[in-house]
Amino acid sequence: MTELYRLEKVSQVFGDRVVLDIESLQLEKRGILGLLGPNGSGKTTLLKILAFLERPTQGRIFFQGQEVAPREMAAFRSKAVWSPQYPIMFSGSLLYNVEFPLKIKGIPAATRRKRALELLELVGLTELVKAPAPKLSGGESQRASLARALAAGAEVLLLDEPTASVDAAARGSLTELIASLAREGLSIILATHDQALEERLVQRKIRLLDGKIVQAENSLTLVGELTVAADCLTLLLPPEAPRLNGRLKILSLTRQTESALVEALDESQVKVTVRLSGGASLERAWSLTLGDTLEARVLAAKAPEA
Amino acid sequence: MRKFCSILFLALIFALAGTSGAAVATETIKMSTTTSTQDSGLLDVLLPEFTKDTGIEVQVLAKGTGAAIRDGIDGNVDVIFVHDPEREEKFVADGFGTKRFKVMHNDFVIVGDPSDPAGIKGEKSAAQAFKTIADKKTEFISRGDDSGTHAKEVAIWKLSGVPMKDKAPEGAWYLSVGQGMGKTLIMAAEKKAYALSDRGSYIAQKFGAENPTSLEIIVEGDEALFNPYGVIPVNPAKHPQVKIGPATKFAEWLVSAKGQQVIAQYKLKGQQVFYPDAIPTAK
Amino acid sequence: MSVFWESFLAAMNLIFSGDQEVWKIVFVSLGCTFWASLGACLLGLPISFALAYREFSGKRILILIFNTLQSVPTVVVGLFLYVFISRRGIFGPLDLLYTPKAISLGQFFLILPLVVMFTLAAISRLDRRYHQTALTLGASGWQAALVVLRESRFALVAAVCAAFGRGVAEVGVSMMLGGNIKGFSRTMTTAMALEYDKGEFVMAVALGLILLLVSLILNFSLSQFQSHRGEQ
Repeated sequence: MTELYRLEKVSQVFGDRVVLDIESLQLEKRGILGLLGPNGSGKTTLLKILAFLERPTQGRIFFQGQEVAPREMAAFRSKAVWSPQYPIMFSGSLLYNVEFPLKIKGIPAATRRKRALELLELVGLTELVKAPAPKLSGGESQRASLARALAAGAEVLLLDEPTASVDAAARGSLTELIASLAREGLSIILATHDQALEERLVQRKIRLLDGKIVQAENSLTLVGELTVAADCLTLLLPPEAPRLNGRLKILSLTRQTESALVEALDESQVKVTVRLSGGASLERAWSLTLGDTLEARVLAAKAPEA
Repeated sequence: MRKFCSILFLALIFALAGTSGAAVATETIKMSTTTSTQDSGLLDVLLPEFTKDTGIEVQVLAKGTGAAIRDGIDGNVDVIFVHDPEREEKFVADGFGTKRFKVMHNDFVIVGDPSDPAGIKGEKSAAQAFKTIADKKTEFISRGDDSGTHAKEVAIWKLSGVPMKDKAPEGAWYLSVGQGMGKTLIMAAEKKAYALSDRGSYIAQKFGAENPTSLEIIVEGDEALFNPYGVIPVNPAKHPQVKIGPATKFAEWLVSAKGQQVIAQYKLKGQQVFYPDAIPTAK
Repeated sequence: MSVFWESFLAAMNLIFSGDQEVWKIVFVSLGCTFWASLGACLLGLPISFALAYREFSGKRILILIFNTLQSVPTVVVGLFLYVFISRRGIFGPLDLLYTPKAISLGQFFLILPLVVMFTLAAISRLDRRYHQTALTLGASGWQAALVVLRESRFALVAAVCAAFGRGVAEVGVSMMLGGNIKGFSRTMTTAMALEYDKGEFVMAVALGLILLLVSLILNFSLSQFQSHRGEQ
């Protein structure tokens, strides 16, 4: 089970403003996923939904293959911990903050102290154990937030602009810390504007614009739009395209979302077969989106067998 | 350390708070009476004697006569002890009280500034004195609060023939303040005006207060100024939960030899204020 | 002016002579308002949380009502409740009228709007992300609420002080519902009113000074919990 999250027809509406509108989204475990997009594109909302802090107006969410109904959200929260751009530190010492998630689970004092100190060592904040947490610097509070999330037993870290409030000097070591956590097996999803961070850390990307996903993992982008009566396209991919295989979701298909079977014909050619839903017209405008502005050229289009 | 003391203090309040509402162990009855009765100090002497003799405790609610009677009508008390025979008779007639026991009387006095602006000193008739005050338009402060004192005052105005409207003489010299006796006397002293007061309240302010009032008794002794007190147990037929047994015991004790004696012997600043009516010769 | 000096002396005398009656009056006042404040906090805090963090229709109206009720005259509250707990009222058989319990009840209704509005202000002012951070770390609804309360404790203590103050200083409810029964339901404020009515100004002010002193000690104690020291 490598699937971490699956979102189906998830949308978030505030008043009459559509903040998020996702037909479908699939996120894999492990590694560092970048959530990109301009301000207001819905990144923070998506992070909060993935953290089970906000309930989408509609849609279904699956976490590690299990559907999470709105009522059940609370149980999943500590598995996917959200950390805002300026992490919120509770009044009290750093130690108090890191012990907090352990305390609310009812873990006895000695055990939690030990664990908290371990985590603080891991993130490199051992000297600041007694320091008042709200007074920590940007970089320090990011580290503190990570330690605290780990104390909560997080399997997923949802970080909103983790380097934005950190001065340049500290950014490097923070980035390194995040990378090492990913290596330990954590799934990390971070929203960021920081180019350097993007290059250094982000392994896969999702791009949002006006609440919609315009680029995601496991998807194809067609140059422009193509109107053709076909349910099977052979596409020529550029050399740097990742290997695609198996089933994948077609995103932002102008009329309907359908699943497509992708078969790699050879290193650079894939055949995309779309299953027609009953009664759909053959002619359709194809619009597929793929991770990193990769362009595919249509080599052939074939109508279904009669 | 400070936090510890604070917690201790708060805990102390918590603990004591629990006791403040504790129910009284002995038998208790609630009595409504007038503020002037309470202010006279008689109850502070009378009630302990009653409790000593019977073991029944009396909780005193002091308010204006109207409110005190109202409490009896509503069944919020077990016995009423007021001084307004007309309203008391009605109370019994309407079935709210069992029987009116004649207990005692004190009297009212017309008080005013020693300078006596209306020139009524020594007047024998209270009604006449009132008429003169009205004719000369000298300032008069009335309680105006539907109390027994107020009712008596209105009755005398009626006797005096002074034109009235809505239970009050017409004229800017007549000030109806809606207050208790104490406050009314204070205002009268300040304004050098006349007022009708029960003797007890006057004595308390003249001989008992730190700063004695400047007022003096201008007119006294007229029978019209007598103020009879009655005690009436509330009727259990109207309000079944009334403690009629102890309430009646209270009434009967007041008119008993012992009760009447305590009443007669009660002195306010060396003066007798209450005259027993059930056994007039009690001393 | 000599009234104040005499009153001060009288107050000292009352306190140190251990006058039973005076101490009883003090504790009736404190006790009644204590229970009223406790009840108001127990009910008021959940209400203000709901108002701060939940959306529901009628929220605006509810806030308007509570805001308005903050300035309701004590006599009005006293009268309203009198109708209910008088023998003739619906709750007559409970025998509440003219007892300290009735005073507590009346003051409860008096204080509740205050607690709700002050707490709402305190909580609303706190960044919502405190609540969200607590939740994301695995806190239950209750635990997250406690975090919010802890972070707003300064304003909360102020709210409790204000609420207690409103209760301990009022006369209308205590008089109408308590009846000012000596040794039973007489509070500091009703005792003061009585003394004033009797013309005993010195005594009235003396009691007032004692009331102020008690409030001072109480608020000092409560403020000990406001400090933002960096300890746990």
